[in-house]
Amino acid sequence: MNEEPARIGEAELRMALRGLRRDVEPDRDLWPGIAGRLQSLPQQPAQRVRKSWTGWLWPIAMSASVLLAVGVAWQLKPGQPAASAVPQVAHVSGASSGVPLVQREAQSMTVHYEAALRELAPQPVPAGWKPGLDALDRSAMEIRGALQHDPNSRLLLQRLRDTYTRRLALARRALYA
Amino acid sequence: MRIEWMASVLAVACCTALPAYAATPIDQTRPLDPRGRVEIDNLKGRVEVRGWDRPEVKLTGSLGEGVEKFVLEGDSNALHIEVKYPSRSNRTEPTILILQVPLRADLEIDTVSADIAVHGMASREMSIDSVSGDITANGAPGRAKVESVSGDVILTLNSSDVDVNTVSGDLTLSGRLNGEVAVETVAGDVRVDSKGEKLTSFKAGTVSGDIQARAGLAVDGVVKMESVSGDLLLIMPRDLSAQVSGESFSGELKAPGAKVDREEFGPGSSLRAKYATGKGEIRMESFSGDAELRLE
Repeated sequence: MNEEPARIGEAELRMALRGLRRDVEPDRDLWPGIAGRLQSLPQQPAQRVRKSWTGWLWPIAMSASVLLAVGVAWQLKPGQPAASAVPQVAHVSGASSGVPLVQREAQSMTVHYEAALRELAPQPVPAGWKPGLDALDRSAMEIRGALQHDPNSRLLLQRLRDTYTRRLALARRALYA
Repeated sequence: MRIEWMASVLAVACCTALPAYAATPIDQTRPLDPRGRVEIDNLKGRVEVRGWDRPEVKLTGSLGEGVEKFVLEGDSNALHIEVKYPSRSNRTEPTILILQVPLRADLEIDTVSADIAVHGMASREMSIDSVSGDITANGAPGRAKVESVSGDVILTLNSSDVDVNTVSGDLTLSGRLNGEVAVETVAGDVRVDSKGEKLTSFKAGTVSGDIQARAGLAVDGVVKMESVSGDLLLIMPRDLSAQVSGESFSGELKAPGAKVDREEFGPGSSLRAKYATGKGEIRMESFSGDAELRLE
């Protein structure tokens, strides 16, 4: 009997639980007791719970990738005035200190990219994927270096965007291979 | 001594024969409309497709040891062939899929580390995707889309719409290319030859790989080539009619008869030139790679 829930599918389980769902009012106020027990617990700084990557990694990587692809593609849309297309990114240093627009965009993009990559990188990657991933990493580094010399280059920004997008897509794909 | 010798020969024979016994042979035939669709998904090994004039798909080859599931499903309009490997096992062997397919059927092949070879297909749409496997294809697809990461790609196609993407693998694309061609690479080298045909659109981008393209340009055709550090070389016929522009931060720009303007202070150069009546448009841009237009 105990094994029954494991055999039924998720949809059936949901239906079954929905059938069981019923609000039951407690006969007294339970909160004072709960609060008291919480107070007596040792106080620890809040820690981020690392859940299994399979559940939440996809949306994060996806949103970062989409942010890169959509945001920058929009910004680089032909005929669109560059100044009006710049999203305001407050957390990127230099956003208001005379750093050229393109370089500012590259910095912002790199922040998002690196955050997404940090979540993906700890997972082991099959050997066959490594040459491609390494080539993309080297290329990203090369483009970032080139941007130091030519901080107004839209060509470099576009290439960096493409490289980041492909790197994230490949890393993501490697996880699910 | 003789018995020992025979025993060792037998042992060696058994060892070499084991993988063959471990693999499961495949031999299946399914009807397919001459303009149907075939989708093939194989993680590792090899996929080989040949076009033929029969309204059916013949599938042979061998399933690698450890394959979780082999799927062959669909109907006479579309067939889906998939080799599923267990997600957490490294002890699986490659699978070889050899198919004969109606030559006009659409084709979609997805692999990770499987080599892909496609011969004699004239699909309306052909899509090939591999990560580390090499890709070889020849045929006359209406539209071809090919993606590779680290595998090399060799394509001989007569087509009016070709789109190829690689990361570190080299690409060679040739054939009667008379419409739109787009090639993208990161670190692989690219060679394109339209065999004298005129392109309406040619787009090429690279980070560090070199790109060399030999093609004609249709009236009002557009060429756009971009590079970070890779060299760009575009070879066009002498009767080219186009407006040409080039820009580079520190690379060398070159075009017949064109004067290169250099920034007076600091890096940066550009060129502009007009050939014949200037019907088409050619733009080349690089950061540190050289960019050259050559007329032959």
